[in-house]
Formats: sequence, C-alpha cells, structure tokens
Amino acid sequence: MAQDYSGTSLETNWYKAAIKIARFVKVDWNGDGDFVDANEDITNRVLDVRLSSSLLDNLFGLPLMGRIAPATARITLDNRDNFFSPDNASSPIHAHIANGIFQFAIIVDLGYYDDATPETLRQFTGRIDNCREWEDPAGGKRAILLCTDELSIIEEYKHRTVLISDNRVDQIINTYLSVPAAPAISHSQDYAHSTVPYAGMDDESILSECQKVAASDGGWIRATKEGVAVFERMTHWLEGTDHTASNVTLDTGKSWWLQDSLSKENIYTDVIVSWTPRRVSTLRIIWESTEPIELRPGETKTIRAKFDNLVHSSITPVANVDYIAVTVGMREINSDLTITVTGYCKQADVELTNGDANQTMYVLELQLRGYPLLGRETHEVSKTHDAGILIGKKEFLYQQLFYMQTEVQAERVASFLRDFLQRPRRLLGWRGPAVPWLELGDRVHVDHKTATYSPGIDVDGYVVALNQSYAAGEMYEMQLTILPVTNLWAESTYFKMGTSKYKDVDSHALFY
Amino acid sequence: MTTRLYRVGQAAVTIRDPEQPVEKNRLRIQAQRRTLDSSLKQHITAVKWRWQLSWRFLTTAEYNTLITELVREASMTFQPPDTDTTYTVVIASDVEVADNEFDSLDVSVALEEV
Repeated sequence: MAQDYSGTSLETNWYKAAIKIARFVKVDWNGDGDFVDANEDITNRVLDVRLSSSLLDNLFGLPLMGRIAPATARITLDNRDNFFSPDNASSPIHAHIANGIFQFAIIVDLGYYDDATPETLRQFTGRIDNCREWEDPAGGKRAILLCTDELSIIEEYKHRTVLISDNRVDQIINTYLSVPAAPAISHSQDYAHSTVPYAGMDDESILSECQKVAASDGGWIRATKEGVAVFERMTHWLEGTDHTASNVTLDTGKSWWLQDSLSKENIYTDVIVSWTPRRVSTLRIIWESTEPIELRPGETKTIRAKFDNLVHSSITPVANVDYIAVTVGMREINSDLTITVTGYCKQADVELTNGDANQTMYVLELQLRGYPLLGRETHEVSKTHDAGILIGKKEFLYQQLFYMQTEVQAERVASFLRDFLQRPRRLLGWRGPAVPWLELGDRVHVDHKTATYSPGIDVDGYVVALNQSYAAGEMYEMQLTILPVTNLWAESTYFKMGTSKYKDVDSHALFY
Repeated sequence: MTTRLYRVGQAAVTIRDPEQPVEKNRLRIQAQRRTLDSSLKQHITAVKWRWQLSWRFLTTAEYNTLITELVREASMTFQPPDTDTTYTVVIASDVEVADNEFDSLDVSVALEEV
C-alpha cells in the first residue's frame, strides 16, 4: 500500500529538473524505542545507502509463491574517528556497542527538499545484523551496516503453540505473531480465503511458519517500509486503490532505463498442488518415559515430552495406568505424586512433584495418552493450461505444504497458479529518480510509446521488486521490477459482496 | 579581520590572515543524468564551501602557529577573515611550504567544509 505523502510536494518534486536530496538515518543505540537521543542520528556519517526488497520468489523468479525474503539495507558510513568501532573505548556509543553492532533498530528516511524543507518518507525499518569495518590505504575508514527488515525479529525466534483447530489463515498468523514471549512486531492481516483444519508450531521459526500458512492461502507475508508485518491474501491486488489504479506514471521524461524481458522460464502447462487431510485418531499412547524418574523428597522436576505426531489433546495421567510411584523399597506412594501436564501441539511439559517430605520417589512407566493427529493419504489437484501457448508438457509442482489440508485450498491455489503460469510473464525493469511513496505491490503505469517499437509500452503493472540507492554526489535512484497487469487475472472483475449484482448476464465472475 | 583555525572542540587559535582576496568556491555535491527523452535531472546532495588559502612572508612564530594547526589529522573549526561565521572543515589538499627570497616562508593549503 503506497505511503501517504499528503501535505508534501513529493508528487511533483520527485521528477524536478534539479532537486536536493533529503535523508535521515537513525539508530536506536539505547534500545528505548525512539531515535531522538544523542548520537542516534547518524545522517552526517552516511556515505551510501542501498535498499532492496522483493516479492519475487528466489527459486522461481515470480511472485505469489509465499516465500518472500525480508528486505535488506546496506549502509556505508564514515568511520574515520572509529565511532562505530566496538574496541574504541572513546566512542560516544561505546557503552552500547562494546559487544558488537547488531540487533539495534535502524530507520532510513529518504525524499527531497521542497525549497528549504526536507520532505521524507520512511524507506526502511529494520535491525542491524552485522557491521563490517574496513580501512583503505588512502586512510579512509568505513563501517558498513548490513540490515534486514522487521521480519528478521521473528525469523530466528522459535516457538511452540497448542493445536489450533478450524482457524482462518489470518487468524493463525495473528496467533503466531502475537506470541507473548516473542519480540513485539506490529502486524495486520487481510481476511483470508481459507480455513485450515489444524495448525500449530513446534519450536519452529515464527516467520517460516507464517510464510507457509500464508502460502497455503495463495497469499504472502511481508514487512512494510514502516516495519509492519502484513499478510496479503491472494485477491489483495484486486482490492484497494493502490492496486486498482496507478500510483504514478513512469514515462520517458521520468526514466533513464527501461528493460522488457519475456522468457519461457516461468511458463508451465500443468500445475499440481497436493493436499493432505488430517484426522484425529483414537486414544493411544503418545509418549513413554524411557527410564524411571527419581524425585527426592519435596522435589519438582519438569520433563519435556516430545511426540511423534501433532496431538489434538491428551488426558491427565492416571495412577497405575499411566505411571506408578514407588519408594526405594518398591512401596507404592501414588498419592504423594502430583502431575501437571501443559500440552502443546507436538510436545508437553510434564511437571512431577514428590509431596513426601522424607522419602525419595521413583516414577515408573510414565506415559501420556491422547488423541494424535494423523495424516491421511496425500491427494493432488491437477490443472492443465487452456491458453495453449507452451507446446509439450511442463509441470509445476506445489507440494509438501503442511497447511494445505483441504481440497478447496488446493483447488483455489491450483486454479490461480494455472492461470498465472500458463502464460509467459513479461517483467519490466525500470530505473529513474526515486518515487519515495511506492511500496511493493503498488500499481504503476509505464508509458514508453515514443522510443520503442509501435505501439510501445503503455501498461499498468505491479511493483514486484523495489531497490533504491543513494550516495553523496550520486543520483537518488529507484530500480523497479514491474509485473504487467495484462492477463494476470483470468477475469477483469470479480464478484464482490455488497457491490456486484447477481444477474443472468454481465454478473461479475466468482473468484477461484 | 580575524582568522582562526583550530581543532573542533578545542580552544580557538588565531592565525595570520591569509593573502587577500581569499579565493573561495561553492562546491555542489551533485550528480546529473539524462532521461530517455533527453531531459536532464540533477540531484543535489549538498552545497559546501572550499577555500584556497595562501600566506606569504610568514615569520617563524606565525609559521609555527599555522603549521601546528595544518598538520592535525582531525576536523577543524575555521573562521575566515571576512566573517564571524565559523565552519567545520578538513584540510583538503597538501600543505605546500616554500622559502622565499626574504628568508621567510610561504604556505598554501585548501580547506573544505565537511
């Protein structure tokens, strides 16, 4: 969603013949959540800024496959006074960086001056992953900050949840992103198309799981320039004026490079999407202790029980069925044992307390019983092209997604991918002066009728990759990869509740 | 007219006024590029001052005071002779020192606003 630039002159200033660049780079050294403290504005030390974000799947080179890498920033800084050197005890920020420069929050604002007033928009919100220092023979000392966007906060954070039943994809993502112990990240979700029968995390990366569950709905998760994690559903680009109307026209007077690429690399005749239904099994043993558990008088022990399968629910262990507690002389003391089970989807914390103040307890043959979730046979939904563009047979396999559990999910994704992949997708490359308010997914108009073969390029498209670069004495440049709207959707208009009308002819088509 | 040159944050040091008129330039830190329809776009990062200074017939005391500041490897505060405004500058060129026919020293150097 394009950024709000109301109240500024950016809409006309970005393509002015001569304009001054406005920029701010700030780091939250003390971690207090603001960027206003001493030395947190490092703008005057910035030599070079390079920002990169993309919806393109690393493997397939097209968007809409769910696997979107976090945006990155590479910022080169003047370090002649060793300001950014952790070993420099005289650095004003030494107390904060003595252990290295990483994990600090960083923001980059870029834009243009309107006369003497800097007008900027947030271009990057993220964390510093790494700082490299280097020195050249001419005496130049530089520090390079390598940063990733706010999704990096949850990329390495692993978490476990209880089993979540019959939630929509956006509800599942909301649960995953709202984990109380996880680092806080602002987030918002579209109302998803799909309901997933069973979901849950078992010490897995929050970001990775969010990406997988988003993909099962044909959508994706990304971070905005302001650092908000957003889930965008499959129909996101059919909704909202930033996607249905152009945000900016990129014509020959505002561009200095345009590339048109069209290849057969991403065209397929068939799409096969697999789905695996899950069912709750009958009551059975889901975990067994491999050895006796010793509890000294009054001692409490917590054991992590890991299950082979996801578990719908477990029952409280029953004495003489699920365990027997004895003294060293094998006298039964079950009544002195307290067991508390905190269950998660694929593991449980079993807390055992010996209530006897005098005798050591041995818990024998401890087991947990419950209702595991079993995968049934995997099904496939296959869709064949009908445009007849590619000769022969080339299959696109979309498989092994845990969250793809219903036929309706697979049907929807397969039908969309068939329409998307049966035609070669033109990708336009564009470079010109930076348009500060553009975000990934925004619709733009590319107008290049005069300098190319008639009728030239005159199309609307979605921004699927967005790079920016700025350096002192260089142009503030934006490089876009644009996916033309033409033929992206099988129908020009889809049925909208409350807007479209049900009628015999000219009714809007139902979405997949 | 007073000319001062000293390390940022340190006590002010008055040096002898340079030769008049002082040569100064307004540097435009900029780039420009033509678009596909050949129109020109120019992006300006900043506009900075650069001074080309020279001193002739320095006494030994004047020379010592001046050269002490000119060999510093640090950002400097510079007050040009024609203004009370101070600028943060760096030594932007080699410091050229020459004997002259009157057995005194001539010095020239460029200062550039950071």
